[in-house]
Amino acid sequence: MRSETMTSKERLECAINLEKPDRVPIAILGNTSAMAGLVGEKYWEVVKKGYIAQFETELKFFDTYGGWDGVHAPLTSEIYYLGGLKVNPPSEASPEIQILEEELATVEDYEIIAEDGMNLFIVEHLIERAYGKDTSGKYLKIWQDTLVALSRSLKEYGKRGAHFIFPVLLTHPFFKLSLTRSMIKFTEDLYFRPELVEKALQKMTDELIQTYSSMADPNVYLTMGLVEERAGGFFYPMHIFERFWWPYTKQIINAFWKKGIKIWLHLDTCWDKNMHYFKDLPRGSTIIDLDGTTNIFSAKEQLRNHLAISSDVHPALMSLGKPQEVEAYCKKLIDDVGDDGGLVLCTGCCLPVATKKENFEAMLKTGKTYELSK
Amino acid sequence: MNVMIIGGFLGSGKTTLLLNVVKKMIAQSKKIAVVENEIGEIGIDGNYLKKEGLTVQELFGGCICCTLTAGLIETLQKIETAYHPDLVIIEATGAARPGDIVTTLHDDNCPLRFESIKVVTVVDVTRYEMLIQVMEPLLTGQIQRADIVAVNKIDEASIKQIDRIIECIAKLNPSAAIVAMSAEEEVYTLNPFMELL
Ligand SMILES: Nc1nc2c(ncn2[C@@H]2O[C@H](COP(=O)(O)OP(=O)(O)OP(=O)(O)O)[C@@H](O)[C@H]2O)c(=O)[nH]1
Ligand SMILES: [Mg+2]
Repeated sequence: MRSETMTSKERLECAINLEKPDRVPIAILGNTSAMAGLVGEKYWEVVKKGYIAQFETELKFFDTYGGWDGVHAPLTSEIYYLGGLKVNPPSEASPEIQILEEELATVEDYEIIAEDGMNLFIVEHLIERAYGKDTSGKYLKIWQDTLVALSRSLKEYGKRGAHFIFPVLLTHPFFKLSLTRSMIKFTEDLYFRPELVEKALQKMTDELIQTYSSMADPNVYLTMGLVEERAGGFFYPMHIFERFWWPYTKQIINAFWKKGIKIWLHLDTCWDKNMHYFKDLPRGSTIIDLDGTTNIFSAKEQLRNHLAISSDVHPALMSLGKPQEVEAYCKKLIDDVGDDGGLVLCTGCCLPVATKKENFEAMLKTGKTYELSK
Repeated sequence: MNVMIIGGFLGSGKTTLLLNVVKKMIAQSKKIAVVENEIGEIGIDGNYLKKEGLTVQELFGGCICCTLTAGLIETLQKIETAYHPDLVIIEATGAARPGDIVTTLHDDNCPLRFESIKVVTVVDVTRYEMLIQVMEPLLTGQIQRADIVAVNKIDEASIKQIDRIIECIAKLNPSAAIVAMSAEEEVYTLNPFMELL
């Protein structure tokens, strides 16, 4: 068996740059709820102790399973609060973090968002609509906690040799509007008032680039996360994708690319019909992160030697499969998608709450040993 | 286990239809359990249903891809062990394709065995022609694997409009039974739904 010759950061960087690392880098994406379950903690009890306690749980999770290469800042219920999204408080009956989608923004708000930007809109309107008036300084407290946890997790994961795949998981403007207007209203808006939607999308795109590209330091982070669950060909036809999603996505990716930062593009649901568009992005600018419903093998053939792919040990396999199946699937990914590099072995979407311990272990073990033992 | 999946886009009338089917089943002394998987607030009056002796399980999970697999099967297992219902009705989220739930339930790794799994897709006749332009893939995907397509809200549409839409749907899914109805005003025959079971 060969031994490892790269650090986690080198390994990730190598794969993202479409080269072949010593072995496939492994990254794990998940809400704290799933991680808590895998270390025998009850998430709904951890939540009550606050953001920092949730970060401790994630660290315990990392240590219990012997670590991996790519990590991210904790995705907790507080993060959704800061985004002005209403979530169901986790409980024994439903331990997962669940967004409760409501029509929190109205048609009139498009003008406000186009004028002031989404950040201000969240603080001035959205949080209050979702949670009522913040009289206890909760918002400020959560911000402080997330900053503390972010710097602590940078330090703690750094000590353990792991590397941040993204400091923040940004929500794509299209997805953000859909969440705040609600999917049904937003879809109607695309039909009845497309210009208003476009105005808001452009402002939010500019704002996102301005706020986060200056914060992103390529010496610290290789990539910035961007999530989109709804714009793909599973939901919308190509004329909607081409008008309301693709131009803004290109603006974001190009702006970060110019600053030396790559976008970790987390794409949920099936994107088969959209995949060929991504060939237009600069080579190596984006990591296409798939959830198991997009055909990853066909995606690889289209993006080979152009963009790296991360994925897709998917939720069904993690929760219902057997360890031998997880092992076999990881090997297939490594052989077929990672044959020339360009693969980060990653959870498809994210770790489901019902992940079986032995399946998670099988994924890590296969990723860490398969290529080195060849 | 017998399963009926009620799918269809957000706000199409799934919960309203479900309540009517449930009432009718209960009148026939059938034991029913309901699984609610909605991306918004639960649209059902849980207390009402419980008073009627019903079991309602809420199905949560970060996003569709995660919820529709482990969460669903675990929930169905719980229901089977605790209640042995004659029928489980699953209300899918409006953002999902009910056919994908069928795939999940037929997966080799699913430990449950099903006598029958039937899909009812509800279509909102008042929004169909707008939605098919902006959200064609999802709508088509929801209709294509249905055993019954329920064309709902006919109380708010003209006969012409209803006919046009039924024609489109028949082309998308020639083997489905198409039922025009108003779930709200209980204007329809429930017979096709009952026969499906
Ligand atoms: N006019 C009319 N309205 C209806 C009919 N059926 C349902 N509605 C209304 O449509 C709205 C949505 O109905 P629901 O049954 O909650 O629809 P749903 O598909 O369960 O909605 P979600 O679960 O949110 O996706 C409600 O306001 C109902 O009162 C109908 O036959 N005619
Ligand atoms: Mg409903």
